[in-house]
Amino acid sequence: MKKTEILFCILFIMIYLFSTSTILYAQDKAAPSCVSTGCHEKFGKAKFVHGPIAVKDCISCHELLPNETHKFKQIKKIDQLCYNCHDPMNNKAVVHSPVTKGQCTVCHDPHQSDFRYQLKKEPVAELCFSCHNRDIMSKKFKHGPAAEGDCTVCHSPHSSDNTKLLLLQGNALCFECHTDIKDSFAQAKYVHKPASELCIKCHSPHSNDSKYMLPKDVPDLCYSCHKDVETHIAKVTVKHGAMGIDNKCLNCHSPHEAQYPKQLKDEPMTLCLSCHDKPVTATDGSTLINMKDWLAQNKDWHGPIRERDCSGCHDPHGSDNFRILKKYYPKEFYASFSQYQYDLCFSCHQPTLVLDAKTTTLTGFRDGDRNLHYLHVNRTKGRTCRACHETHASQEPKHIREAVPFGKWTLPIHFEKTSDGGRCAPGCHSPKQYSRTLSAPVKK
Amino acid sequence: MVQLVSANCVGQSVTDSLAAPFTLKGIDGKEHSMQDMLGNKLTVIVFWATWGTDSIKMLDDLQQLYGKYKNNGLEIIGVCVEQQVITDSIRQKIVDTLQRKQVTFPNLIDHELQTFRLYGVIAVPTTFVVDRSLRILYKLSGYPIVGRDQLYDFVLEKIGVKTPKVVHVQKGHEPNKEALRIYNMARLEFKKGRVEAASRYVARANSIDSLFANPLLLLAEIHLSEDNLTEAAKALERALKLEPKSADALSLKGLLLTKQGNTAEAIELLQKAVSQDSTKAMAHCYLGYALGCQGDLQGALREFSHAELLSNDDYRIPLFRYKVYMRFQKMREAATDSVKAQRLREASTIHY
Repeated sequence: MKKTEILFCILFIMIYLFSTSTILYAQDKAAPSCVSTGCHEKFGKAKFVHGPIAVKDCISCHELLPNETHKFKQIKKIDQLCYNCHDPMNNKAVVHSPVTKGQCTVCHDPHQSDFRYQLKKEPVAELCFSCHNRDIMSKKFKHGPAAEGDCTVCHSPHSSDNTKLLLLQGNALCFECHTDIKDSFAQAKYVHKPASELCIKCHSPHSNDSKYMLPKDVPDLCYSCHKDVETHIAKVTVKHGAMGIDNKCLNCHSPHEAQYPKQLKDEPMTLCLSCHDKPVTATDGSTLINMKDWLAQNKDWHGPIRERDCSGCHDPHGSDNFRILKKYYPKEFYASFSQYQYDLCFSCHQPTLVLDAKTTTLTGFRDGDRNLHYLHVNRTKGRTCRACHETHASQEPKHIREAVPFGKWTLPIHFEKTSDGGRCAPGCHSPKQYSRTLSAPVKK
Repeated sequence: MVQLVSANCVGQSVTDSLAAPFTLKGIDGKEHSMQDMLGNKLTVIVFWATWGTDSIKMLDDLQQLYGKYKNNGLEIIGVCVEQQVITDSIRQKIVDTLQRKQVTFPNLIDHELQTFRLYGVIAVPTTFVVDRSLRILYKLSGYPIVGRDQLYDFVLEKIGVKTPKVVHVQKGHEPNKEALRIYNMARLEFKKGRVEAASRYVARANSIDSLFANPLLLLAEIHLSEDNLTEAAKALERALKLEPKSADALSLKGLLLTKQGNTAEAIELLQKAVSQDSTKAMAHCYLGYALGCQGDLQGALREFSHAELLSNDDYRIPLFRYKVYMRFQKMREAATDSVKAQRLREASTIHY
């Protein structure tokens, strides 16, 4: 048996015998003791009394000098005296300095105290701050246990196998209390790397100047690592309004875990429409339509919207283009042809759509092999994509516009799809139709 | 019969369409049949172009996927749909891009864009996932941030290197996060024997979220540990009002009844708790204690063994068994359990 087990067995039997009153402890209550009226009378009166004193066994610690009746040997090695009964507290890799020095009585009163474990002060932090600098708790926002002065929620007061005498290593310690975060990390598809590595990369475990014990406010904290985003946002001329309001970066991104990439708090389009579900004033002062309503009313959606990904065309942080578009897209309906006018669209769609006059494969908008995109666009008074297509959604196939603004008027396009082509009767020109299987247009 | 997936069937699994076979020239100038290139399990066909920003991003990601899983039955075929007419300089631009991106999966060039048309591609990249019988299992248009991850998850699940993650949904009252954290702190403090701190935190957690039953259960446990049966009964009553069917609450109620001397009712209640949720170690433990108090040592030991099978590191199980052994004057067994309880308690207080 281990020494502790033997000691425990002895202690157990002693307690049993004592509690069942089979045999009374050798110290007769009637006999003179160290604790009596007028003599060490305060001992045994506090809320928590050291075991030997409770049973008036002072001599188990204080040894009389030879031939003396009231003079005792000086206790030189306190810890060794304590370890006669208590398990050693100095047996882990990292040992608290007073324990290393055998100074148990720096923290514990060897006789009695009003605090559990006969601690000399409560809360525990008051004891810790007898030696440690109180400044770590001086910041505005404080960690719960530290604010309670309960240092031992995280730190062992004796020894530990972990640095800083922590009870557990890394995030495992935080997860002892923050079980909600632990559970959400376990279930999340994406976990923010620093959060998965070490909570204290962002949060101070004691106190700090920003909410949640962060060293800086958002977005500055985010920019500590995401330098590229900081640089990008600083230089763009059109910034996404969402970044300047409420929780800034955290309006869209979760700092801990997420079910969506880029730590997005929700599916991208749902996230966008959580603000764009009403008219919104853009940073240039113009009013953006209620996009949620628009998409609900118009069922033929542009590809990226079908994929529920507004970031297909818009840079969610900001850009140098109108409406935070990723690339240039003209505001106007008419523009002289230049490939630059179609920069955004040609990130995904074939540029030769407007460069090749003939085709049988590039597009369905052709009459025989005559490319009608080329015909409409590749000219001095060319039309931009928006002249015929709604950017987001429309009621018509291929998200074609119902009408084109022309000065004060809106000119209906009257587009109709046919089995091998289509027809339209816009205000722009006389009614025309096209067929992919015929070689020449047929006039109505 | 070849039936292509419709263009708006995107970002989802599709199982009723067949991919059209095609033969195109590779970047090596030789003709290659798509059917000869299929992977053992799955083939990703990606239509891309050097002018497409997302196409280039996708080449990078697909190459990583290919590097990791090409030996797991996965094949990737790139089809470059650069433009209708492929001149030598355009061909060289395609080759240069593939070399720069260090792409090693096979790539074909779609002269005249016949395959582009055959597959109904409108934007690049457009991706199809097909099996060996050319069934189109998945189609993705563009490279959306969520859609791309879903595509890769789909591929990895199909080639058997990833299992879908099951998300558990919490039932019942979802506690306030602050209350939950303070309650957890209380439980840690109670384990360390710091009863005053534990009681203080329990009260705080309860004041933040009065519908959260766990702090009340812990409060009852604290009172029971100190044999303060009146207060334990009050706390339990409140907890049972919130969660009348909670096996934890019923178990503690059983312990309370045992301590009050009402062992018959306790046993009935604890047997109900055990049958309701047989995985609760403490319900078995308290049932063992109640049986022991009623004089049924064999029944008690059976329940303690069951409890230890479910949780072999909870100090409370040997502690309650010690109490039963004491009632039966089995001093040697009691001493063994007492030591075991002490050791487990020390271990569970995470090196305090």
